[in-house]
Amino acid sequence: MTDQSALESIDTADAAPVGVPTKEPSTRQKAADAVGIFVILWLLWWRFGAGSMSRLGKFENDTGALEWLYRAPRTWTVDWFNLAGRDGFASVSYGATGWVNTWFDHLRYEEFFQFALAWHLSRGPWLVLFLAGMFAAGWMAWRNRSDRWLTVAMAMAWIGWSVDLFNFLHLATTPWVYFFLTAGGISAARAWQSREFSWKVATAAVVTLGWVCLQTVEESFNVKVFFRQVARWLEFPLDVTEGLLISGYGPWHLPNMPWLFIFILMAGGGGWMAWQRRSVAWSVGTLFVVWAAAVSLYEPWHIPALPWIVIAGLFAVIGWKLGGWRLALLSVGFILYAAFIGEPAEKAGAETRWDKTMITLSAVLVSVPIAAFIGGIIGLVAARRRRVEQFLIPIMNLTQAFPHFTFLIPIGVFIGLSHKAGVIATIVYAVPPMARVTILGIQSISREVIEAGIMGGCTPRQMLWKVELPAARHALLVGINQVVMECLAMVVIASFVGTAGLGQDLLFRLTGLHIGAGVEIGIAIVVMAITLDRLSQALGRLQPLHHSPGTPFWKRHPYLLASGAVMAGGLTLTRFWDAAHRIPNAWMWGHEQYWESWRRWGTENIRDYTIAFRDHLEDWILLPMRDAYLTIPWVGLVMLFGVVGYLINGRRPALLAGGMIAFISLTGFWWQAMWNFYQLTFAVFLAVVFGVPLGIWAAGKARRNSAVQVLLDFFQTFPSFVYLFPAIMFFGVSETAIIVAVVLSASVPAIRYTIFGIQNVPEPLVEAATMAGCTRRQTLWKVKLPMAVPEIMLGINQTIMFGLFMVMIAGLIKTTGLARELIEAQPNIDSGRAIIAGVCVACMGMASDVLISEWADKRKRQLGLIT
Amino acid sequence: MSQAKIACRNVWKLFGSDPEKFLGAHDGVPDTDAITQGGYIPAVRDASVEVHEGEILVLMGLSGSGKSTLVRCMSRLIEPTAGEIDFDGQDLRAASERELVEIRRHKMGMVFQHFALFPHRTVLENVAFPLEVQGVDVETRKERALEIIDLVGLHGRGEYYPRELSGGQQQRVGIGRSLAVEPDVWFLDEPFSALDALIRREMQDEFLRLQSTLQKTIVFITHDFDEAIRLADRIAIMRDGVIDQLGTAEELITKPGSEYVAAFTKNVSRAKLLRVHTLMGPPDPDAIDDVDGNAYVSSAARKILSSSDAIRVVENGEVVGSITATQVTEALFEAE
Repeated sequence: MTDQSALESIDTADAAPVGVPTKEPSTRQKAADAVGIFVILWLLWWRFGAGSMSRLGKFENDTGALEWLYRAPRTWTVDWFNLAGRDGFASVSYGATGWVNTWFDHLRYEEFFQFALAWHLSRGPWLVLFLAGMFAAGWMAWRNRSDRWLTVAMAMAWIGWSVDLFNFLHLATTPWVYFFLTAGGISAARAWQSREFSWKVATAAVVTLGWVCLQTVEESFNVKVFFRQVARWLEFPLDVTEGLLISGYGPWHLPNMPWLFIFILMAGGGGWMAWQRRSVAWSVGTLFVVWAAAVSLYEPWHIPALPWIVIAGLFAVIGWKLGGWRLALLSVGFILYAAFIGEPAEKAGAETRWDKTMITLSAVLVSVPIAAFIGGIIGLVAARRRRVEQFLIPIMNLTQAFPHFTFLIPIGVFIGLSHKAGVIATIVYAVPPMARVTILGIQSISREVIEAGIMGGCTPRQMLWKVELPAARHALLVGINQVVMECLAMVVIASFVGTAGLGQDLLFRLTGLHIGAGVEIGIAIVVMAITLDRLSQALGRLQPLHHSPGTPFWKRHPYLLASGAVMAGGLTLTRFWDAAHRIPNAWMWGHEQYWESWRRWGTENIRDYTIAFRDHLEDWILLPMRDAYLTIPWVGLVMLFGVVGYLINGRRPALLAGGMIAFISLTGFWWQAMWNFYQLTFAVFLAVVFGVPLGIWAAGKARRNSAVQVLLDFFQTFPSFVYLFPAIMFFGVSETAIIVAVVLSASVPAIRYTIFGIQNVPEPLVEAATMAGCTRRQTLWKVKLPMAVPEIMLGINQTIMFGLFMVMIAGLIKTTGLARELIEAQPNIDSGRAIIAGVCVACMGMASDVLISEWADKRKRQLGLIT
Repeated sequence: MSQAKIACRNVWKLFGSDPEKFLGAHDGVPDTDAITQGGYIPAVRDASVEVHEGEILVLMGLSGSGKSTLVRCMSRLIEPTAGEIDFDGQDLRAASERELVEIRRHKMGMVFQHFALFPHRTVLENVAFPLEVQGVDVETRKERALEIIDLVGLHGRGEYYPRELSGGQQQRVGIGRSLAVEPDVWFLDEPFSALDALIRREMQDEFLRLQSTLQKTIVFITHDFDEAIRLADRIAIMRDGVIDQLGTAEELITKPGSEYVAAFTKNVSRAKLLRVHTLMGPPDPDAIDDVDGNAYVSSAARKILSSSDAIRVVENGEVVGSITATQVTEALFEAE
């Protein structure tokens, strides 16, 4: 019986494609159908329905019963941020209601309670409930010796504290701090040393109790307060790096804690460990703590900032170590540029360009390790637990589809506008790529290596430290390179929430339209980006070297010695020669005026033509196109995305893509989104028209390819808003300038992926085509291009993403559509508006991403490029 | 024969959604159809095998026949679905995580097909790795690792990184690492498959040389029958997760249990494997001359084939039979 049915099922499965000749319409035909319906709907509306629609998409007279097809009525939209109060374009009257605003701006414990205590419970029962839960969790922890239950108990205590349940426990701060710190420190040390569960419990209890008891009542829980507390701790590493690079290491801005006491505790503990274990590492660590304490607490011992000459020397040594003399030259070049180029202080305020560069550098130096650490841990956990990975991957995709700005808004809201807020935004932004790379790295360790570790008898901890992390080292370092680049890009952009340094300088110059100075700073940023990029890339390529036994010390550690020499030499030099410490203003030289004169020359000679070109372009193409886009019926676009999605890969992409477009409509940002959509489509069209042929041309010969690659690397290290300069210079503040800037930045991936796609065509296929007698043109058109199309489409996908970022950033010079909502939303009372606008942007990106990447994936499978 | 070092009894490994439940539902012995219909992939089916102290047991089979999985079940790198595994008289499946770590640290060593060297460690550090995780102090483990490095013929390469070595040398490091803790049992998972033919031959000799001094209990995986007969005391041929036949090389050749085994043994050079007493007939009074019954046919062939008469087969000074040229030629060329 079972046999028969199995046979039958095999039969039918075999028969279907052979026996019944189903004539499937070709992909081209299907796509034409989908687009056809959409275009007809659109044209009908344009011709018959919306003749009366104004340029801004505002209805001037009622268009009747079918209006909902074209614009989601206000009554349908969710009240995200009191949208109903803002009618149309001009009138702006915020009452800051709407749930997004409430959630982000006003979440305080009272509201939390009102929300939670709808059944009119007083606090008493809640307290009992919490305590019962806490003790239950604690009991479970004790009985099962389970770290997990211990965490639960601590978490409950924390939540209880955060909703002010434990107010009655509140203690006056001073004497108790010492008690809790001592007790916590001792029990933590015991727990660390003995790894006994009872000591873990003791530590957890002391820490939790101390935390709960000592928090001040005035700052009751609120999302903002919590984040601001976290942010304050960032000042410590920032103090260290900025102290070393610029201001000198001295007074702290740390939370008010008994630091002397903490230092004594740390030094005592370290010394004890060193004594117990006779360990050199512990003694060195302890000595370092003592030194740090002395330096930071005793004023006369504060150490001054490193002289620029020492920094240059250290950079040279690092460059030399990582990549030989070329990198050393590049690194020194970066330092020299930072030191000598730029106007002196009296003109630019208290800080010279050098100071600003160092501030940016220190922000990067602080955020990179933190982001890499957090991302690494997330990645490690996800790599081990399938479920965590499945949960995280879509979130990471989402965060990568968000424009930079979307990260800044909540940060600005929660932490306020400050230098560290920007650093936190930077860290948050750089975590997902690191996590992703870590997951990949850990999962791609060969199965055998893992088994070799297990068979060697590793405990899980030994596995992690001795096998997995070192074996994934290469991938992790690639991740660090990405983190460095993301951090740098973000640190510059984060000047919008008050991050000091080069980015802020650039922002001020740009808003004041000082093109020359802007170019000067732009170059400084680019040089820094290139240097850091090359250095971190080289770090990933570094291979350990072996020395034959008997090699003298100086040969084994040349870099260590060189750094020592640089420090000693540099510091001695500064004693005799002031200029080695800080560059005299007279030595500084700016090239601002050259750029200004170029600009003037351009303005006088070329600008007339470009402006004329712009006017024609806008009159004949851009403005009509924009008006047409503003009339796109939302139902039509949802259907278009849905149908295309369905044709590509069935129901899932259809629902995803259609749903995202529908979401945009339902937020009430439809016409704003369509405005950006028009900019995006036109710019992407141009980028593809330029980029793909250029890519094809470059892929033809190895030499062209390498030249183009260098160029692309160069372009990609620019922070994106540098592209706005040439655009404004030639086209003024206009739609055209935006589009030009977008094209400039978004062509890069189009070119890169095209080259990659064409070079990835399997060599035997090309040889087969050649042997079949194809001319070069035929080989290109009949073999290479069809094979490369999926990759090119992925490039176009990236182009769209880059384009979206750039459209938003272009909001800096001319605010249009969603960019306006993003930039103009007032932090603190109206953040919901900006957040929703950011989500809309992400939706646009993801909708096209779903379609294109699913298609490319499917097509690659068909072509056998992946399995 | 000495006692069994490892004993597998009715070991199963199924891959699928809930293999334990599935096996239970079929009383622990589902047939092939049931397994495929249940959507399970059988990697090892009902395998029973004993490895004796000091012997080389070769698991032989094509890729996907379950030999690797079986070995990984023996070391519990893979959790078997059902069955018993005794290691040194201890129930391995009941061992806790901590006990397993101890067993692996002291009693097991494993060599991998693609060497599985840690790329970030020097040869010395790779070899010393198992000692390092045990917490042996630096000096001792360095000393021990250097001994091992000499033993596997890599003298003076201790400071090299794996990428600076050839394939054969890398596998020597792998072998060295697995020997560092002086394990009782040595698992070798296709250790020479990734090497060139010439190097492979050399490594096999090296392996035999090592084994003659070390006398380990060995489970050796290969897909190469020539390698199997060269090294093995006994061979287990696996197919589709089942142990098809288990015996000495000679038994497999003379009495193949199935077509499959016969197909494997067909092209083997028999003269080097068959002994004279396997082929001989009853003692013949007319027989002249003597050959040793324990000798391989290849070494006695010249004498037997050049004689037109039967030749006496002698073992320990006693005549046990006789052999003729016809018997030899028939046995040798039977397969063709």
